[in-house]
Amino acid sequence: MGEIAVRQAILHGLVAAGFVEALLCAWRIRRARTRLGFWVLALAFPFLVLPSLLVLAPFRSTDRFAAGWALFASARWNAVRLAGIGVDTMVFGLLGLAGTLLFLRDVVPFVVAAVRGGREDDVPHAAPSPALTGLVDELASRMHAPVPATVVLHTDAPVLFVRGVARQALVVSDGVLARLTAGQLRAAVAHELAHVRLHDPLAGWALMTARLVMFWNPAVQLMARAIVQEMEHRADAAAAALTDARTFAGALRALASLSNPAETASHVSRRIELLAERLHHAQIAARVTLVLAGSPAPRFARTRLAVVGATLGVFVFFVV
Amino acid sequence: MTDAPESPITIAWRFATVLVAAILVLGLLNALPQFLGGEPLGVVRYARVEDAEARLGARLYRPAVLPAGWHWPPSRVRLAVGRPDWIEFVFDEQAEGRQPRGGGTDGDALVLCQALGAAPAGSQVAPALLQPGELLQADDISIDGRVARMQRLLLDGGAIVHELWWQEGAKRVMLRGRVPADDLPRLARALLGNR
Repeated sequence: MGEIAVRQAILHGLVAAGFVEALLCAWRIRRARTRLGFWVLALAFPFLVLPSLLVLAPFRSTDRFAAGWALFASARWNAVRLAGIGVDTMVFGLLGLAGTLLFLRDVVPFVVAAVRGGREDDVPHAAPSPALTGLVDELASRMHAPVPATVVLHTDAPVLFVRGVARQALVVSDGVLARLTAGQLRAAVAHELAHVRLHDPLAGWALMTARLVMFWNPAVQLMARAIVQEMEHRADAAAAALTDARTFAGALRALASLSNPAETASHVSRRIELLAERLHHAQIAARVTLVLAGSPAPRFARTRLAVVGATLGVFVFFVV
Repeated sequence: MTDAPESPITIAWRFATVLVAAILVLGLLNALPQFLGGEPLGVVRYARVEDAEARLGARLYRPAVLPAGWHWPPSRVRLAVGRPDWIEFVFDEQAEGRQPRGGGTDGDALVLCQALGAAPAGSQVAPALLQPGELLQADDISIDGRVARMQRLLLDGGAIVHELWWQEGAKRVMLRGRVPADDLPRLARALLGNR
């Protein structure tokens, strides 16, 4: 039963993720809030829908169902052998490995940093200026967001993020304060306060928990990353709406240009650093394009979501 | 840049396109194994009789006696899903000094098929399991008081096989093989004694 559940969790995750991605492309939905809803729906399938199916419809795991009713039965591929190993077993083994690697790729740097003690307490603090705290208070009030504490780090490194779930804080460095214009700073702070208003730090912890529970599931790892990306885009849209799209785009570019590869760990090869830098700049460029282009609200968004959810529910019933 | 709002028809059309494409892709992936050495759609293969019994939750007929030269366990155990489901046992012929031959529906093997669940008289074994043949001769015979039908068939490729059909309550059982006609009723009597 455990092996069946693991295989179906991967299968259902892949089917849900693939179906949602195809629909988002076909419908050309760019609005982050809508895309986020679809990705959360897809993520629900291996966590909520599959356990329900295993309990309420155990006959799905029988050979009769797989042979007579299933649209796709992965066990059929075990009759195809490569080097004496069934293709089904081989593929799921590789998928499990891929899922684990995707999980470790994001968790390991986090754990290493925590172990090495590169924490903000080790960096000298500076007192936030009245102008900065006033800016945070004003934007939080306009966004109907709780006012986080403001922490200023005395370093040139580009630091700007919001942390904490119960006691939230906006962390910013001297480097950012010195190099962003007033308008760009306003837009960048608005982005971070949007995360606070939308409870993104809490959502981030929930996603990491989900990733930990199904660390072997590559679909869950990829969907969680997609959700994080859409949360960023959603905060971008909120900041652009509150300030100005062009100013916010400028802030994104300015912050990206502040990142200096030479400051990364010395043991990382230069080629990897350049690749990471290119990827980072490509991501920033995509965000800038999205902010400047705008993203209209798609029609019948909730209806589409409901229809897709119902259709996927029926679909995965016949995938074993 | 502002996109023109989509019409409901466009939304539905694109949704249907993605749905149909998804169904086709999964259906194709499900059908592919039969072209790569796997089983046809609707057929499940088991490594052993015991695996089939465990997975299906059913006790299957096992012959107590096999004709000389044929050995247990069957080289192939398969299930064909349908109304009813059919289970196939294929036995290899072991010839002294030679490799066993058989394991197919080409007439060189002894095949025992049994229906799981009620099967009306006249129902045939799923074609996915057993190659149909041209009926050459059919006779009714008696096995321990039961009426059975002995058939002689010509398969594609020219092989002649004998089949023995009988009804065990609501279940239909069939033996097929390129063995002397007298061996099939003897084997059937052994099966009836071992149910």
